[in-house]
Amino acid sequence: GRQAYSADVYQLKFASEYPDKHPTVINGFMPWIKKVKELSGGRLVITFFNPNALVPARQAYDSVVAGVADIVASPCHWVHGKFPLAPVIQLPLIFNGAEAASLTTWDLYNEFPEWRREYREVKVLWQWASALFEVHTKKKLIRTLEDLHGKKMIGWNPQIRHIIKELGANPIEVTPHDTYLALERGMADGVICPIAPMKAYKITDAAKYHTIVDMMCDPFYAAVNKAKWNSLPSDLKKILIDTTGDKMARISGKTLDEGSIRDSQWMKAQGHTFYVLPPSEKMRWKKKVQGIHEEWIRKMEKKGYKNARKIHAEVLRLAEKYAKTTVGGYK
Amino acid sequence: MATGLSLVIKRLETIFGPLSKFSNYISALFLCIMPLPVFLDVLARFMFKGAVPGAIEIEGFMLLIIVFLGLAFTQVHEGHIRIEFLVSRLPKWARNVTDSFAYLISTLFFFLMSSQLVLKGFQKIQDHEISYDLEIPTSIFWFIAGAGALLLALVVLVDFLKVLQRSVESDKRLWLVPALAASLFLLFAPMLGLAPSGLSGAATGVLGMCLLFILLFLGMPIGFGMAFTGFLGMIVIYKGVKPSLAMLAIGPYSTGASYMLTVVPLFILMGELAYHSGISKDLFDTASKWLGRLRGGLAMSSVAGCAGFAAVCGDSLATAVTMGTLAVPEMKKKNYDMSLATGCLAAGGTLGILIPPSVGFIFYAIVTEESIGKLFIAGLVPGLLLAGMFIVSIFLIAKLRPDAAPRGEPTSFKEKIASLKGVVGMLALFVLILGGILAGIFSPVEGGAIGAVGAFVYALLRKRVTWKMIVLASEDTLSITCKLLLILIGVGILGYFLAATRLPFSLAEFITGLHVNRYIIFTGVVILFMVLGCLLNVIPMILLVLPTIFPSITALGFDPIWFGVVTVITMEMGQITPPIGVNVFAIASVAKGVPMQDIFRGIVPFLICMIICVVLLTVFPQIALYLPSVLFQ
Ligand code: NA
Ligand code: NA
Repeated sequence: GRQAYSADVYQLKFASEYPDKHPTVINGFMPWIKKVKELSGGRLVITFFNPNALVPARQAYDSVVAGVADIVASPCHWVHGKFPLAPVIQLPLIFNGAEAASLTTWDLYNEFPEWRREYREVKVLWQWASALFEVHTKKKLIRTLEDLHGKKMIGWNPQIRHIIKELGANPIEVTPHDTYLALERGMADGVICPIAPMKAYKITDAAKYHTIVDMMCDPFYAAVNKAKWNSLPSDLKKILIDTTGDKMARISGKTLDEGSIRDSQWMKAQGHTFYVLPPSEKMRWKKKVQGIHEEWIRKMEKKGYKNARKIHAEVLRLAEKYAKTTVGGYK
Repeated sequence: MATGLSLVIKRLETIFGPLSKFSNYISALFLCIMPLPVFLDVLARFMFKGAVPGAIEIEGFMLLIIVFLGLAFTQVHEGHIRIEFLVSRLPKWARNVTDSFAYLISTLFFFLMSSQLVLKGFQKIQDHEISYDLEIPTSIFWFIAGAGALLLALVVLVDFLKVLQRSVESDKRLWLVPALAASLFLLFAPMLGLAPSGLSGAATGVLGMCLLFILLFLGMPIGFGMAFTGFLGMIVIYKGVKPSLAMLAIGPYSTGASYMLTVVPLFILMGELAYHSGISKDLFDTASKWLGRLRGGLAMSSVAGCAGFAAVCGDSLATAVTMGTLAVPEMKKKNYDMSLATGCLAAGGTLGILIPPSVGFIFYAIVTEESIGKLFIAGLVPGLLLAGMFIVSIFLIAKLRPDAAPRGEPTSFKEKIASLKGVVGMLALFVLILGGILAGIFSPVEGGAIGAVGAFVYALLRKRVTWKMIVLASEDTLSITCKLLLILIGVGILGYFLAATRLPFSLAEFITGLHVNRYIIFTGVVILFMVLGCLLNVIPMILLVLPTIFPSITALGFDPIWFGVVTVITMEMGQITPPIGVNVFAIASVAKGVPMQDIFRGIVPFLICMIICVVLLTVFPQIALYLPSVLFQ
């Protein structure tokens, strides 16, 4: 078949959840695309597409299964329910940074067959996790649970709103786009979101107080269309495997952490106040949200995932292990 | 054979007619409750610091239901927007032939789309996919979309059979053979693998655009043509049919279930409710009391009325029709030159998308990801400026040709003051929306729901709410919404195809690579918008071109908010320029007996005003940017 013509150039369309100005794209995806091209002697060309350009971002999974995109890099929650195990990564107050969370997610993929099974329609190249969600407020720095109590806090997704509620604050649903205006005009007191998108959405103009709590993060996957994968000659497959996996998991997480650090330093230079939640206070927060962890395990066991508790324990173990070797998203 | 066919048609019509009407009623029901989740969410936040869980998600799903269940009736009732000016010049038999070509493709195409949406629904059941917030199985919404597309396919099938019958009855019936063969070939040949291969991406893109223009000029509805071209183009680009088929499901679904787009029906509904509660009449009465005594006073009042109504209506077509129904008969009574009378209303109506709230700015914001709030505020001063320029030009016309614009009755100062209460309703709603946005009580997207509820409450206070009024307002809103959303569905699929060809990127690179003064490029862009605006309906035109142009504009250092205002003014021009001038068509339908060319003649002075306005904005960008810079610091 076609594999005999090894001089063929293979073009892969890559639909990304992050736009081309995102630090993970600049320092992670683009260098990888370049490296693949070099290693293949120009035979494997990956073309990058901004979100919603090639395919609707929310339909990335269906698009890669159907081959509209050859590769997608997308959050697991756009197909909520399709990857029932992935939300374990979104449980509150586990990770110290995106790098640790990313390495953990990728380890879970490799350790648990039931995790891999969920992605059987595609060829997964790597998994990673978003930057950690921190607390950003407009008027008053949040130091304790009591400070947070009753505050109107914006959360962009259902999971963070769930956590906000458990912590005793009032969750407000506003899109990332409207967040700046909502804060600026006093519609809400603050937002719990990663540091990374704040500059782009101009939220930094409204929220000047930041409490580093490392609240939660969202899992992502990067996958290739199965038929496209099978059509590639084995040396090109090898290049794709060798350059991704834990390498890309680490780089994706690391670039997110570095982006957070850089942006927080920029905010400090603008006169913003930062406060790292001390361990004793963090324990109190953890107790408040412990129910969410138990709830997840029970729900999964009821669905027939016998390993749910084991997977959860493994997440905690890996998070602790990687916390020792990674710096996290704040310095 | 013809009688057999007509029996079949009758039979099908008795089934699908009521069915599409029924589905439209469901759609109308959802439209009427659509403002509630957001309204309650805003209320809960304002009063109890709480929130309605899942309000944003519910709104998206409601829009999906409204659009897909309303598509078929829109086709039965008025037809989806199409370019008529070429086919309307054809002899009847030829028109029947081109229509059978277009309708056969459309029928089969929507059957295909429906099947893909339904298949996706089954797949979502297998995947146990649920919505992120309320955890509703998403398969339900795929099935609803599939049902809506199926109903559309069926009513288009009836349309096809009708033109087929007319063609069969004529003596030119042999022409049907190549027409039907062409449509079957165009649809099925690529699907069976008969597609040009070895074309570069950009070449495929250019060919696709050529095909699109042919289809549109043959009278295929704009949304159908775009979606179909995108579908065919993707087959060529992907060298297979699977991605294209998948896109027929995921493209329309994501357009329909978009929270950002929920403002479109809501702001249109607000305008409809405002109209039915008498706001437009009050405005016109007040304006004519103040300006009526001047030469051309009624025409000036019409423009002032349009500007006022624009403050409560997001759409320019609705503004033109609303003021037109009131003002055209008045001016006819007073022996106005009908060219001036209709021209000023067609142009005045376009203020609907410059003075906030504005569907035009919403679409611009959706494409460019700029702030809707800032764009709304930026449109205010240019909108008033343009309204002022319109009034001044009416004054000048009346000076030059006194017989064209006679004086009205004098009114006492007391009457003038008393008439001022007529603007209260408009002002109250305007302050509610812009004030609410600026005070941070709700976001611009939420403003649509608040405005619709506000207009409804105002109608209640004026005791204008009747069952009939609600039905009329929601039917008109649905019709405009479905027409626009169908085009957006087409724009979506076409856009994904064009992205895969990389043609837009090459174009943008080419434009920014031209080493000429940036104002030359800017002028070129405005002229391009104007030329395309002549042919296409403007919102779809902007949606088609802007994603390609916008990156270059920002790369050249132009302010995106300022460019939004300029874009909306060129959108306004497109609404009134021949041959496709939607506002002119609308006024023509109101002003019975006034020839279309007279209205087009009447818009010339106002078109010149718009061009001057763009020049002024280019020289003094602060006209647009001052207010946002003060209010958004
Ligand atoms: Na308006
Ligand atoms: Na036009």
